[in-house]
Amino acid sequence: MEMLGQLGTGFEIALSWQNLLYCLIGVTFGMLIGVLPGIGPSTGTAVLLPLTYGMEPISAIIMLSGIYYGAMYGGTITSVLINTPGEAASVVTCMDGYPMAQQGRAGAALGIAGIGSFIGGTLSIIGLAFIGPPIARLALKFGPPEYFALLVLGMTMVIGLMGKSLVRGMIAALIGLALAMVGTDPVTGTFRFSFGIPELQDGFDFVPIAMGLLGISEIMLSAESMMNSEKMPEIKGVLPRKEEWIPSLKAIGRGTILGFFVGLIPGTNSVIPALMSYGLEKKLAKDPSRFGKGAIEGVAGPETANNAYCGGALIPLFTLGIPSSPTVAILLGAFIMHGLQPGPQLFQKNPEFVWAVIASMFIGNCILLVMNLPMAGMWAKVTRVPPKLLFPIILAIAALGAYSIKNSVFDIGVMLGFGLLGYLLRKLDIPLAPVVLTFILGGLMESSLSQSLVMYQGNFFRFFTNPLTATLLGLAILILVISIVAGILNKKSMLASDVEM
Amino acid sequence: MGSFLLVCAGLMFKFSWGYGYYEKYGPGPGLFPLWISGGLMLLSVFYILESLKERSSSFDKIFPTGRELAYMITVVVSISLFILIIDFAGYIIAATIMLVILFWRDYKWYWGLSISIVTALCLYLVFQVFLKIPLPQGIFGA
Repeated sequence: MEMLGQLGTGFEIALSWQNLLYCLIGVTFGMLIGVLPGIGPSTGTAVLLPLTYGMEPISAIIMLSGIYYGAMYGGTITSVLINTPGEAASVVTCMDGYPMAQQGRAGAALGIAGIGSFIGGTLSIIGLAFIGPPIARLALKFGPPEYFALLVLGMTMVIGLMGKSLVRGMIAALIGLALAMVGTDPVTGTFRFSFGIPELQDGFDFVPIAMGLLGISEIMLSAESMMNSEKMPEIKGVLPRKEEWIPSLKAIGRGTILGFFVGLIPGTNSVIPALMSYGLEKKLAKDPSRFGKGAIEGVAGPETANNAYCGGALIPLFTLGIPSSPTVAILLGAFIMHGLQPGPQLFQKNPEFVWAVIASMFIGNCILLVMNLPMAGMWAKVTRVPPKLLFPIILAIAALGAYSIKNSVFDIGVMLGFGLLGYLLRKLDIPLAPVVLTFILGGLMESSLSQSLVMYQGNFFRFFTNPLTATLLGLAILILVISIVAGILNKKSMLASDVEM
Repeated sequence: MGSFLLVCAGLMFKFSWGYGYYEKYGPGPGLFPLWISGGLMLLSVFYILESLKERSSSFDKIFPTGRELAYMITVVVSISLFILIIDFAGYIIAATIMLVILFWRDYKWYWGLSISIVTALCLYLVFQVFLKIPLPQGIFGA
């Protein structure tokens, strides 16, 4: 009951005209980012993060999370109409969505994707509202050793699941941690690795690094794939046939559960539940040969799963302060920029904030349903904006955004430098997600380790005398071992892609 | 790349050593960086071995060619120029020049210039006027 009361208060805040407007702007930007191939949600959120600088924290997070889940809806449109996924999670939708469009059923594909996305997105937010508070209460009992062990486990999962090799994943994670070490040591005040450069004494700012590594490098890489505008099929009727409703709804139900639970695991990405859902639907279908030729369950299941994933992936952020993907890491950066520390205390200290953001997601999903069902054709036209026009404008916004964080030209240089580094790392198949995640968590990891070592009088092995920390660290070791074995057996190919999440 | 990483990690290890590993009250500022750089050195060696085995990290694969190289150079030159002149020329002029360079190859000069001016003015309006973020005015006052 208490939760419903708080959710009611959240709706009151989220329904203020100002927050409604920011929610609308956020989901519209999200749709745009999703529709435009070449820029994904992490690039979009990173580039637009500085725009929220002068906003109220609630409005800022409402807008940025709108971009995050809005992009998942938008990506579907180009997958169905021109066989080009607007963001990575929609790759799976191409398999049956495009054949449906070729059969003149683009409307039905987009319609069921919109309905599935709405159901998956909304149910996963209900899950967030129910599961979030108990996890946060449990996490309140965590001390520095438990936190350190949890961070190690989270990072190991990111490393273990991403990248083509474990070595490259670990290198990426350590590069992120090394970058986090630049600046003033929080305990002694010693300047580390700043080499007398005043701008480095406070360390690198997260925003220029995220914009450079994820955004600029992606634009540099996408220059080659400047898309050609294809002739698009017409969209007629957005509802599936009568006999398709029951199998579609079943696929939506399964996709919701799958997406939500995969979202809880750090290091996963939205492609994984979408792929798993596609595989599951194909396996459960009476006639699997329909898949790949326009089976509606092949659109309904994966589209639902990637939207349900978004709600699930926010749970570790809201309750533990641990982001599970780069886009969520950027949201964490936004929390910090606005003076909020996500984690177990967030539900206690800023309940109005948490519930307003959750309420805004319900509203945002409703707006997106309207944007997708009757207005899908209008969004399809956006795909005709040529990248040769779009990319320079994004670069200009990014340069200005990097500058606006501290009114510093130095940060534009940092963004450019990390753009080149990101480009190089992408070419070398070194995943970027662990770099961004460990960079943002590095400070917290170091302080929890230092506090733990003070408690344990410098004896690291006492981590293994506490049952909870021992279990968490044991799990981390187990994941590493499994990753090594999987790497040797070459079983990581499905999880190997370092994609936009 | 592996060798470059190894050198960087080695330098980081050397500096971390100087910051102090453990002090009277607890861990020193060098403890965590030392472990990170140590780990990075070890992984660099593994990476070099992995690359030798794969033989795939050739320069051809890593470094861009053709259109990609041209675009990359354009991005680096335009943003660098923006950084160099923004304080002197002010935001609007610096951003217009940056955008003109970025549009140069794909649009006729008058189109490129027009889009650049409109974009720079719009961004100025959003950041300076709506978001109240002070942008450099330069000697021309804009």
